[in-house]
Amino acid sequence: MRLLLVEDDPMAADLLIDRLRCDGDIVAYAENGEAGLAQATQDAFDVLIVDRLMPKLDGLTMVRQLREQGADTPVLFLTALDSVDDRVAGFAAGGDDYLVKPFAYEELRARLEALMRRKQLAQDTMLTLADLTMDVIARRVTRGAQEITLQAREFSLLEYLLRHKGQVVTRSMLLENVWHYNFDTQTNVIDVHISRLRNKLDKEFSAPLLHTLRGRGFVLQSADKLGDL
Amino acid sequence: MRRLLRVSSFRAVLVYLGLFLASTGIVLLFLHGQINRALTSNNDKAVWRDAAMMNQSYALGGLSEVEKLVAQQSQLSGVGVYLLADGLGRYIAGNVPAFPAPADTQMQEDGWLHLRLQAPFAEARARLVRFDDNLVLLIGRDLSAQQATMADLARSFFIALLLLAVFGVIGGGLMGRQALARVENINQSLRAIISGDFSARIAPSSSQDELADLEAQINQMLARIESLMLAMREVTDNLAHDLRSPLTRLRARLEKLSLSAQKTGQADDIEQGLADIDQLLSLFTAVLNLSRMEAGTGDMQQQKIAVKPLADEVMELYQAVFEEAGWTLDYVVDKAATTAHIIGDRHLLAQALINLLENALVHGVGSPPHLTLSLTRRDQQIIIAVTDTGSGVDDHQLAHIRQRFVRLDESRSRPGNGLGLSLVDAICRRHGGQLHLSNHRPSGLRCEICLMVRE
Repeated sequence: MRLLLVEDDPMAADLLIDRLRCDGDIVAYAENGEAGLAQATQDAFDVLIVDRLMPKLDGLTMVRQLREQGADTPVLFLTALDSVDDRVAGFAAGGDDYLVKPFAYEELRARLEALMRRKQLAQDTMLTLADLTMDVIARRVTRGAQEITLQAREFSLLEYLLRHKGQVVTRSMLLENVWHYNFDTQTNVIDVHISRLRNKLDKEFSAPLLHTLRGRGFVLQSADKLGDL
Repeated sequence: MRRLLRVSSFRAVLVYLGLFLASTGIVLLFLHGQINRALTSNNDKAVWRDAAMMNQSYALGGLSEVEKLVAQQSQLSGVGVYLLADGLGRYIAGNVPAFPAPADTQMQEDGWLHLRLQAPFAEARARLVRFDDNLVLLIGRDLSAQQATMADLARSFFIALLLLAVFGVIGGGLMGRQALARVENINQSLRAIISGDFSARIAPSSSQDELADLEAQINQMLARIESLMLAMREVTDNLAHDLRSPLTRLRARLEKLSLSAQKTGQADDIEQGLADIDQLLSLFTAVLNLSRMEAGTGDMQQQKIAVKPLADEVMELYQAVFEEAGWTLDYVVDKAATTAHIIGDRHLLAQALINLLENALVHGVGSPPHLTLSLTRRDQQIIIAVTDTGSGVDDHQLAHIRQRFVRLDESRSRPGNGLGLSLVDAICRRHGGQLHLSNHRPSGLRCEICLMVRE
């Protein structure tokens, strides 16, 4: 993945760039919004990671200007501000996702992957993985020849996982995108819903599709392809 | 009207009006008496003049002269009362045929007679003039004209008093209404501020009275509070930023270390370190959110929210968690509550309800564990109540558990930071509502979020 990191704290940037490069990403770095805007308009990137509070040109303004120039590169905001309004302002300026500092690297990774593949998701109405098929319009899910009955929220959950099949999806991503809550809960509420979905999805089949990756999140993938993650 | 009666200026006007009407009434009564006396005195003078004239004519011409004069006077005016009689009271001349019966005659203290006469006269005030033993003249004035005048006057005075009272009450009402409107203006601004809008100000009125002074003072106070709040917000934002930056680096370093530590076997310690950072952060975030919420500096959406769908969603999210943990659930919505709307922030209210549910899940485990979520409409309030079957809380501790960092001894070993109920409390207050805590019989804690319904 080609990434541009715009962050005014060089030490934090170094640490992050190290990790991203270890995972095989190509990372460019800009120290402030002005330099970031210049780089983002010159080169092509898959995703921009932009800190919100920066000298010279803050992240919000930078992204707003970038969008005015017609660039639609996905933007992930990093921020120390976590109120709902800050979040709303981030999306209003043209951000695509929002991550509050400090964050787990795996959380960032998962969200970058999601943003990167967002373009490919398009508006497919037939989603498939191995022998699992979802017809979004008819609201029908089948695995092999067998129909699987899901409740409304289970359907949304599976739809989100299918649209991000093969990607690690974190608990907070699910809470934000399936339930539309953007605060953390103290209990294992997401795990419970995942395990219920897994019961319906995998229990009677030999090849499990819904996996839990410890410390990272969940992934919907055929077992034989899990090694890549 | 009852509201108007509570307004001090209207009450003051009513009291003043009462006193004013009473004193005016006394003055008018006095005036009435004076006028009556003046009219009577005028009458008396006229009678004296008449009598003097009669005496003179008797001295000059005797009986025949007086008789002529009396007959002449009797025909002259409608108000004069004359009766010339002999020693035995027999009629000689005049416009009154005979002396009235003793019952119709009343001797007054000033020596005048008050008579009740036959038509065309009604009542008269008269004197007796004795010319000699054989000739007596009753001379006086009919009172009906004066009485009619005095009655007219009394009626006018009464109407004046009545008009005074009516105008006074109307004026007082208008003044009270005006004062009420201005006080209501102040109250409205203050309500906005209490619910967290620190930029609200009282609209200045055009008048320059003590209320305008009060408004100006309150506005100054509000400006000061707002600047303090902004300063505090800046401090917390800076603190958030400055604390989060090193934590971000620390976390990244630990993550980096944990990659290489897998080989040396120290990975567990580092994992623990990461977990500690996350706990520290979640505590920090909770304190920050709570402070912002309590100070009213936190951002809050003001949307119209249907309460039942919001509770449905939260319940749907948590039902599975409770069931997995072996709880049974009841979700009761009374009919009047199904359509209730409130104004507020969906995220905050969902968080408040989730906090209560998670609280029950951790602290309210009973045997058997059971949870009731109910939505009830009570007048203008919607009550979202979460009731568990746990051991509840000692009555004397009920008031404390909503305070920051309060964790009862028996719950110290359980997860949590002691801020959950404080945040629920702050969210409720920020929405103009309250959090009620009570023990539920036979056992369990009942937490009620009470919010005002908006139609």
